[in-house]
Amino acid sequence: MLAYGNGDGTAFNVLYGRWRGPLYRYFLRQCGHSGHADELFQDVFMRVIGAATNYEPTARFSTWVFRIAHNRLVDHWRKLGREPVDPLPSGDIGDDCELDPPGPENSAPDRQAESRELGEALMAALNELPDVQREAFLLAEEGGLTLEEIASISGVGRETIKSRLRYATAKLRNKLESWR
Amino acid sequence: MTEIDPKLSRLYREASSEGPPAALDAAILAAARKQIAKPQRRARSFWVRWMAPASALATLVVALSIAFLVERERPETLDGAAIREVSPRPQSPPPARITETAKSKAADSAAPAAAEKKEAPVAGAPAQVPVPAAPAPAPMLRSTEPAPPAAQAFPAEIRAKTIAPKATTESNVAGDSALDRLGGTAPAAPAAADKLAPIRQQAIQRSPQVWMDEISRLKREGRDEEAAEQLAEFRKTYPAYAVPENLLK
Repeated sequence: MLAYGNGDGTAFNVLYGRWRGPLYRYFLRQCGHSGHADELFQDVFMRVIGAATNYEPTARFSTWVFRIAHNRLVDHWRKLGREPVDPLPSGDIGDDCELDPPGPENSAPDRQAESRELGEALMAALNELPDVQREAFLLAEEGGLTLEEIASISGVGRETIKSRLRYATAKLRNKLESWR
Repeated sequence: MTEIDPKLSRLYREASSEGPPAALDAAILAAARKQIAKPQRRARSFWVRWMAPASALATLVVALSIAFLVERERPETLDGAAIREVSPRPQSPPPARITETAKSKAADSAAPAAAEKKEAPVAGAPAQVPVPAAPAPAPMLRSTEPAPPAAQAFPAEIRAKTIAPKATTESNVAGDSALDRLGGTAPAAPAAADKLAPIRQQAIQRSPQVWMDEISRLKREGRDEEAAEQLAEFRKTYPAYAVPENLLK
């Protein structure tokens, strides 16, 4: 980012190639609508481009850019009249059973189809998660952020994020239990 | 991140392959190239940002410099010699000086030879040159006003003779001038001249500022008459000096 701010155009290409997928999927999973995801994604990268000359590395780039994305998403939801709700834990989180999805090395056609279906089931289960739990999961998976970084972006405590991630993981496991 | 099952994480990554449309990629990359294609705007914005404070600072420095210079050149801070350089010399001193010399000769008849030897070039002049009965209004003259006609009436040779000793006794010219004026303005009143003798002596030794302070002190003490005398004497000696308004009342 500093190199791009100093006029190195290829540095931005590298940066964009690294973060275009995670950031786009973050918006796509959160909005559930590719049109909105496109709009938000473009808006965030335009802000990144505009801020390049004054960029100061106070944190990791991923933390910085996902903070922008989070704020933009909150604005989007507010505009739609949608408030992310943090649901109270309901009942048992679920057992800590190990999920055993088929590995990518399985090349048999029936295995590939099973893997694809499992992936679709995971996405469906992810879509059913509460917003805040899904966001915590996506920031961890797509952004590679730590608990502290997610907590900082979300404006809550570290333990809260830890709890959200545990609930999200348990729910996803439960949804995919039939695939074991 | 131990809160997420690694196998679940692997499954998610395998199932996640979506990306932005190619058109969106192209638009963003084009915007990025456009942004770095105008780096000169950055430098200009920096200059524009600092132009106003820099201008204000430069103006302040110039104003302070001018104020400092003006303060240094105020007449109150100049000594008598500097004032004499910029203002025309009062025209009455030459005859007054001559008169003083004559008076001293008359009073000290026991040693006429010494006086004649010392001031030989001008010794004969006062006897021949009549002292003006009404000495010029020199005390009230400003430096920009023309010389009084009475002074212009003196012969050029006499004026030349009186300038010569002035150059040799430069440090006491102002005081001499005061002495000479006193003698010249009251030739028929030796008692008054004797009364003002201490003032004349002080005038020789004091700088204008010290003299003004002394006049101010006399005013404050209610000795208005003495203050008026001192002020009149002062203005004869230093006609170009800017006398404070409160002392003129």
